[in-house]
Amino acid sequence: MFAFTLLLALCAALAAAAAPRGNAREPVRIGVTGNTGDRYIRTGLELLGGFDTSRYSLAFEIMEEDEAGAAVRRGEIAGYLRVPEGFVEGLLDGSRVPLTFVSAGGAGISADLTKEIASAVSGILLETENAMYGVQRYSYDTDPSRDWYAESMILFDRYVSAVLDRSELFGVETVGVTGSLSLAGSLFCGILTALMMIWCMGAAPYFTRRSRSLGEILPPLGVSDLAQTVCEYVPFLIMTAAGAAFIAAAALVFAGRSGLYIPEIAERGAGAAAFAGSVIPAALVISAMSFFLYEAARGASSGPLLQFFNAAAEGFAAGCFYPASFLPGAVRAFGSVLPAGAALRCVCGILNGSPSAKDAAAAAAWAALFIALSALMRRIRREGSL
Amino acid sequence: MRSVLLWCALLMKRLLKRPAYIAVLAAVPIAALALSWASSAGSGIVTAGLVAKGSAGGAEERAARRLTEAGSAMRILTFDGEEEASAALRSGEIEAVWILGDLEGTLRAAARSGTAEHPIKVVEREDDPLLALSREKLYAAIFPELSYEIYADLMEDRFGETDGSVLRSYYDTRIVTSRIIEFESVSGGEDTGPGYMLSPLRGLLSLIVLAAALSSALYSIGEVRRGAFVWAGRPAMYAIPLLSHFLAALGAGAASLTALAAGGVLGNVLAEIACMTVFCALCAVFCEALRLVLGTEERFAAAIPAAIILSLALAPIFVDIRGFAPVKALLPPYWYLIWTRFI
Repeated sequence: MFAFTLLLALCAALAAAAAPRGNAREPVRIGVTGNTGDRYIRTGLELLGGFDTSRYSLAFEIMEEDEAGAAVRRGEIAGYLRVPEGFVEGLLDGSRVPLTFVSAGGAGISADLTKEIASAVSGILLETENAMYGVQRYSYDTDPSRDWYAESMILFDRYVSAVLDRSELFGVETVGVTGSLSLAGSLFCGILTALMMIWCMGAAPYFTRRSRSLGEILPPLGVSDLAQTVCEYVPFLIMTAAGAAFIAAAALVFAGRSGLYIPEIAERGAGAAAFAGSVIPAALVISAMSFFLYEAARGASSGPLLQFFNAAAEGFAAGCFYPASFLPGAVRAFGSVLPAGAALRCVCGILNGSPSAKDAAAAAAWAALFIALSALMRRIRREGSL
Repeated sequence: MRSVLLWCALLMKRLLKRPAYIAVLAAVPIAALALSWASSAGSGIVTAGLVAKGSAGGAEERAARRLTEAGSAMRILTFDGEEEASAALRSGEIEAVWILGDLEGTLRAAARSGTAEHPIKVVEREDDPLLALSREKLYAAIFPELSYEIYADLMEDRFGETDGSVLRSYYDTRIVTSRIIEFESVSGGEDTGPGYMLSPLRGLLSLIVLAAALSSALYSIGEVRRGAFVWAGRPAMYAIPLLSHFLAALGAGAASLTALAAGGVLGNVLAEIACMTVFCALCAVFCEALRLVLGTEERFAAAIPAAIILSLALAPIFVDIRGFAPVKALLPPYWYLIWTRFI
């Protein structure tokens, strides 16, 4: 188990060594197929490539349709833009020949963001076109001899300037709300909590090889079910806490070395050793929950399956996979009272520099409840077998 | 053939006697249904608060309507005043506040001079790429107002036309109303997409299938060590564990298909069943190979989190990470998620 944890940490270290330094981002690659020979289209693509106020850089590559389709399926490009025949002519004469953005279909946040931006760009282009046609029609109606095309191109230039200078419209103030984590920080804590839950899947042999007869011999000797449960839980807690601390330290080193910008780590310089030691309250609740699940599903044939289902379902609701702010209010409220939610809040509090006694108490209360339930289950099972 | 079916029935019966296995399979569609409900509830990758200060029916209100009425992956909440919105920002209910004040006047000035005095005040929780992208959405909502001012300014400059009704009549003669960009899925058909809440559902379900096969393989190690199938003879002795993993995965696969249907993301039923069956077979082979290589329960159990974590990171479940092709090729969920792009 520890050998594999070490292997995971080594993989993280290798990935960190291979990753670019600083805040460099890989550009989002988008293919362009179809009628790409037109000089207007090439100019448009160059403009789009430099259209990068949001720090998400785009790289456009001209490709054949088959090649682009295969690249989308392999995940090498985010999608491709199919430029139909007659697209430019359609723009000039008002007959609409739309572009098609072909993607893998529903690939999460990046797909939603692509659609949001494409929809915003589409709306801006529609408005611009209508205004240009308005100018052309007015020019033609009032003075047919006038060069209506030249007039509309003057308007077009003004639109281009307005769009390029759009950041001037916003007076942006960043307040840095106290007590809340950055998006990157939330994701980091979420992933760490989910990793701890998944890590517990590997403890199956520790539970499946327990001797059942011992559970029947010890109570007459005065060793209660609760005492047996606690004695078995403590080594598991130590193992989980050590694994969690190791994973936390490796994740912190990885986050620092790979150029991933997590403000809480970059600005406060959280030490790996201190952070690793501080995830113990989260390990307390996660190991107790896992212990209870192993007690509920005795045997190797369904233990890891139950562990993973719990990690996926609870992790999702608690905000381990998406930050809690992405979830609906009711799910957020439900997730925060779950054991995984309590564990996540402990980890978030540590990264945020404001660990809360309330969160630690909630984690301890969950742990106590799971231990008590495990002992109760053991007792019911023993009495049923007697 | 008859003996294979008999073995299938026996192994399946053994699986169905496991309450935890049945409980998980029953819970999977319920969880998918809950996720489907959650995806339709109010959620967004960015939640912004909007304060429109202008008069009723003014540019601010029109822009606010465009933002709140259009379906979007961003959630926009409206607030009556700046104080209320700031309190929501501090409490973490929203991540940004957009304050639209005298939009018409400042946009007109911006259109005339080419510069603007920041007519839109934006207060953000942090310097974040998602919040920066959300401003593009805000820009698109106010663009019709800005666009009209730019047009009106040009009409005055170039044609001397200042009559508002004439300007408006030419501006509002919309020649183009259709979308300029259409979305299509690589497998054909319009890409309506399940949205970010439901999009990881298929990937997470594939991991449940893999976890079922891994659990079966872990159990088989003990059985093989005890010589449980020695009496069945040489070929059967090796085939039975493989069949056992396949059936465990198949049960989870059936629950996953039900969950996909419950979540409303099931594609062509026959193609889905075919893909799932092949995926279950692949999971069985993967787990059996891992069992033969690792040998002991301890080593195999330690490999379970590694297999799940690698699949979670490298299969296109939440993000589509490039590179690591040799590792991806070893992971059954990666292949399943690639195949289902063709459905």
